[in-house]
Amino acid sequence: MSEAPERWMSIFHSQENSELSAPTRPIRPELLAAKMEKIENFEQPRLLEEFGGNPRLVRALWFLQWVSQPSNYPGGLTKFSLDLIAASLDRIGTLLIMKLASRDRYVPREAARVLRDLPNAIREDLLGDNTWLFEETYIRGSRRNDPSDWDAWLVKEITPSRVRAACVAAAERDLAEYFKRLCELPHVGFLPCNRIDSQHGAPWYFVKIAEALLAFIDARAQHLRSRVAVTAVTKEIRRWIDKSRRMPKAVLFIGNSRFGKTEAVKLEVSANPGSCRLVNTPASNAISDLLREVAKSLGLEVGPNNAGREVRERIDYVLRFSHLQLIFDESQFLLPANYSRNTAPARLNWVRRSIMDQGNAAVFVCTPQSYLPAKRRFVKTTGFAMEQFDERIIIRTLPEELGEDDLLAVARIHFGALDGNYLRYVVDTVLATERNFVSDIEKIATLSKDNAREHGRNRLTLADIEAAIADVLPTVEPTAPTQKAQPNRSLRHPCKRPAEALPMPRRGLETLIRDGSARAAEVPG
Amino acid sequence: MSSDNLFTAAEIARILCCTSQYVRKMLKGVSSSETKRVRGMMANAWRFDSLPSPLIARVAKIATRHGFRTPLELMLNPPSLAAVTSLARVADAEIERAQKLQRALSTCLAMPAETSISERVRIAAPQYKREFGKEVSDRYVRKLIDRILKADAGRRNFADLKIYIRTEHVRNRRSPFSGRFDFRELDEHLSAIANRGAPSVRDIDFAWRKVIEFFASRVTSRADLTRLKLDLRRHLLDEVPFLAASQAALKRNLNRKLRSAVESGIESLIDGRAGPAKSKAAERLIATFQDDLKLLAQHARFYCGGRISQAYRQLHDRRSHNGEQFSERFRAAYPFDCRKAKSRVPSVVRHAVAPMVATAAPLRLGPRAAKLALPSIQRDWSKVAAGDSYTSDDVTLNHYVYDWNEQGEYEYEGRRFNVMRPQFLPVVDERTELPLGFCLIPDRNYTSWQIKTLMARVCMRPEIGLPFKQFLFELAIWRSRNVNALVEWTEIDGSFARNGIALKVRHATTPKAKIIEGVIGRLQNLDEYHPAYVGRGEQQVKYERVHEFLRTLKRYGQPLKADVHPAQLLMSLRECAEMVEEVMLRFADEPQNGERLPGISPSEAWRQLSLQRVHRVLPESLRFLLATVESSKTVTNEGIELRIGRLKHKYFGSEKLGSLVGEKVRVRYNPELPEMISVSHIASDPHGANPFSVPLFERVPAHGATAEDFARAREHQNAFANYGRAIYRELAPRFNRTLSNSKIGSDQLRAAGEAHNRIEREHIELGTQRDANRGAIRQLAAKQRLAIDPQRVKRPDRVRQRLESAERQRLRILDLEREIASKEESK
Repeated sequence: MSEAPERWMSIFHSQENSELSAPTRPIRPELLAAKMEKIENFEQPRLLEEFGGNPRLVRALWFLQWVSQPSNYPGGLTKFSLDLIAASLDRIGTLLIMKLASRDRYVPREAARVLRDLPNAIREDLLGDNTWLFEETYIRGSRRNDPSDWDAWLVKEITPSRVRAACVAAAERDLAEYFKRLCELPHVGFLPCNRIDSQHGAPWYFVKIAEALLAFIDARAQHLRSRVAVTAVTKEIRRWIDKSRRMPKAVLFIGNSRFGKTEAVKLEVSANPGSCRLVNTPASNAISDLLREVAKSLGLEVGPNNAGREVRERIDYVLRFSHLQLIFDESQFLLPANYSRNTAPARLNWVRRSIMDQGNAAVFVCTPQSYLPAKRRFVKTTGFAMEQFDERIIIRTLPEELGEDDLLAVARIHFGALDGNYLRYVVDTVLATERNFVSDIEKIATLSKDNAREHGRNRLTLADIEAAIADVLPTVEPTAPTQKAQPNRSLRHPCKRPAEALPMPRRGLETLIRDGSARAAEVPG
Repeated sequence: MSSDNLFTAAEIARILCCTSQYVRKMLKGVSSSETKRVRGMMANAWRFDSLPSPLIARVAKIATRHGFRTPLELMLNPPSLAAVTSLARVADAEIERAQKLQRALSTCLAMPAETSISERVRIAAPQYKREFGKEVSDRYVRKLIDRILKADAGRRNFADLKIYIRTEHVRNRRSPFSGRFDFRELDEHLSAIANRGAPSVRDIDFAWRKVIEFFASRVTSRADLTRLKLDLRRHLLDEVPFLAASQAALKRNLNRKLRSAVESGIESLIDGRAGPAKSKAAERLIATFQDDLKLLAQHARFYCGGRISQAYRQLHDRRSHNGEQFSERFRAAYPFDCRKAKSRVPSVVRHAVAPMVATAAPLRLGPRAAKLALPSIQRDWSKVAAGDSYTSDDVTLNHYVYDWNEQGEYEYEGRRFNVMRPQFLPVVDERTELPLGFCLIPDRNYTSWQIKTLMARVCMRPEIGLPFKQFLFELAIWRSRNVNALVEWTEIDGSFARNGIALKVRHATTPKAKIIEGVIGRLQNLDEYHPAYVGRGEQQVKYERVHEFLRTLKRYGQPLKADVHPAQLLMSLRECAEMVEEVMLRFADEPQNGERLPGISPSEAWRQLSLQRVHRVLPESLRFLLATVESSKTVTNEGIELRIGRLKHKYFGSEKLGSLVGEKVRVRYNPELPEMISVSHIASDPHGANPFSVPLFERVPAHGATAEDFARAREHQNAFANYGRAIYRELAPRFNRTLSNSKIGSDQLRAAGEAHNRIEREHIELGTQRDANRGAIRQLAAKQRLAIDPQRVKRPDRVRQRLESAERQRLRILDLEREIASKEESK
């Protein structure tokens, strides 16, 4: 797994232009929620046992639901399946095939066993018109005239590479549909099923699909996280999102802007879409707008004609059985924008009743300068008992400034493999301005690269970085040397130039700082 | 039958100053009672009671005029003739003049007795001109004719030259009766006055009555009036000198007393000082012309600056600006001629009006002046102890000093400075007048913040401590919210009262109630020897040398003027502070007099009157109660706006503050540290335990800043600079007991104080660090072309380190790139 990121990068880049089969439609979250409902209702004991044994599989289902949305994962489920296959080639096949994966060629007995594991269609692909002869000989055992002759032929036709290629082809053809059935049909599970048609469990060509999927999710998350620098802010956000999910409780993050707060949240959501979803809180007053945004984040299809009540019920249903953690960015917009003294906070009430009171985790992200004044104004106007909302959440205040290590990490991410001296120079310059903006380093990096590109270079130079710094940070223009002209001689004696202003005679606070020897007698109370 | 009561017609005519023929005509129907021998000739005579009543009435009138009790007494003692008795001692010139007059009047006097005086004058006037060679008025001629007729006394002997001689010239001649007056009878009466050295008013009245009675008795006995008066005055000056201060005064008083006795009787001779304050004339005046007097008093006070003569003239002649005038009746009773004496006012009028004008003087100024004109309220200081009350006041110092200032009006070799008389705010103990501290402010005025800082420093000084009862200040700015906040904190926690800290601020409404006014005056008595002294009334009294030196100083923008160092004559502000301190210490050791400090100095009084009590000193954690001002503000989009004096200070630039927009916050402001305020949210932090600092934000727009913006910014800069320029000193008493209880106040209060102190310390440290790293940061930032303001960085040390590190890295990268470039070239 250590080389996973590089491997995934190559997969993503190599398959960008590959042709896709007919796209599979996105998975409907209501059906997945219904499946979860049946499982929780003991209607599917096999699946209950399966998911109970490995709860991550449930999150994997919601992950599949998330990636099935083309807006989340370009190409949708089909593209995801291909990526998964490309990343899990060593896990494709039956158990026997995987067991014998290290062989260059099978012995006749192994080939015969492999042949038995393969479905008829694959056998025909491998053996052509003589399929029935081999089946008669090795599967049914009716023709045993000269096995040695048949064995050589069998070993020649059934090779590990051909078998694996057949499995991959089958996976590429059917895996997306399997995922869709897995999520939408109540009886389909991850583990292999004893049923012959294998319609209730893992597909024959991908017996270890669960293991591969979880590994893919982990690798993807690790890859995504490697693209974002680990800072105090991202650490804090990741830690408390996880804690919120485990408890489950609502957490409110309050932190200043331009410190990577939203980036960190987006990273967590994209790394764990099976557990949490990001809601971009709309800046309006209507609850329908919020519900549409939540539905969008859950993958619900909402048209313009959908009634608000219907959308709300669908969202509630999905949330009840998905236990997805909703992360509200710009959560100050949950407060009413226009209100009178009789206005009820509809959005807050919905969040409280449908998320918090249902035992779902939630995360709210906001800036102090936007959330706290808006809340105080609303409370002052309406007299709303905000405690019923505040007491249900845990408030975490994010660090107000980033340290040198954090900024170095950010610079390392954005500048790539640049010499450490350059990175330290950029970080020192940014820290000297006391702006502490993560975005400054990002902008400097982007502009520097572009400056180098403009000059036809691949390698960054100090001049590129200094030019970028001048564009991003507040700088002063160097005073151009001007030609000093001889002043006209005046008849009057020139006035002496005033001396430099004297420093203000501040002697400090004498009532504050005193000589200890002159102190009055202190007596204990 | 005695012939004493028989009177001839000539004798009656002599009394009545008419001719004997006229008397005989009046007596035509009355038969003569008897005959009387006159100069050897028998003449018809009539008894007095047989005279007809018209004659008796005329005689009685004349008797009353001349002081005779009865007409008979007048008839028995006829007045002497108005003419001289002999020409022996008359000068030739006078005789010659008399002859001219006799010739001039001979024609008119020869006319029948019934001829009217005007007819006689008409006849005599041209003849008089012919004799004397000059023309005189008819009135004068009438007066001459009248005098000659009286001197003739009806005898019609106009050939007698004696009646033409002027009697006034012979009055001073020695009478043959001189020295013959006997004053023993008078002396017997005057001997009843026991203490002639200090006689009472009653004694004086008694003496005058006896003198007049004696005079009347001698006149009755036909004594020479002139001679009698002269001798009597001489005698009175020797015997009863208290009647008059000089011979002239005695003459004047004697004549006045005689006139008064003739008019009102001897019994009315009463010294006016012993009787009612107002004379009858004054009473009459007030009763009759009250409205005119009020008008005069009002006009004099309100329109003529209290000048009665001017007001009288204007009201009499109707020359006032509003056309007011005395009533016609008043003008008739008290005529006035502006051309003769424009400033003349009848004394009775002036005396009646003058008190009214004087009384209305404070009213003309206003109610406060009227209040100040009231008698002082005497205070009992016996129950006031030392340290009970601290008091303070302001005064402009009497010395010009200079103060180096980058915005100063003057310059010397490029350095600018200001020259001014600084504001001096001393603090003294009210009971003992012991100086406890002062503040020198190099400005024309001062603010309540400086007052508060001064009092906070005095009270926080461990050797001085808080007063026991109160602060005493005047009104105006000393009544401001900031100053009252000096004691408001004592009511927010019960533990202060339990520890005996219950302070008040009292305000004196009049200068008389302020002890410190006298202290300031005595301090000013001690500082005159220092240079550049300009006195206490610079506008009235000019100290020429000082003003001449001030004119020689070079103002900023006067390039042609020579540089003159202000220290050649003036003290610096710091030297002035040393001077004031030295003066206050001298005053503290100088014995005083009076009820409050009977022969003891303020220092001795502080020791004696302190009653061994212990002054409380607030612990450091509660320093903010005295040193800061608390107010409740609502945070707006503009942050927090504080009005300090006439300037508005805006504080924002804190993200925490930005999250409290629309919220009520508690703001604490320290005048010693105006660059920041500490803010705590009232709703979430009611005790102020977690305050945060908000810096002052006054920025001029980079582009498009107007002149007003710059002016406002400069005003703020100057105001800020002035906070630091005031000099504060505390003077610790030699003997004092203080006690600081570190557990005083509630836990929340101390926690809030500690938090506030922490913020202030952090801010001070930040300012110190900024100052320390200012140059390096500016230099390094300029080298790296970064716009970093050294006065706004939050961590100056770290910024400097980062800039230095960045510079090192930059140099390292340049070396690295040079190496790479050289390698590429070599390839």
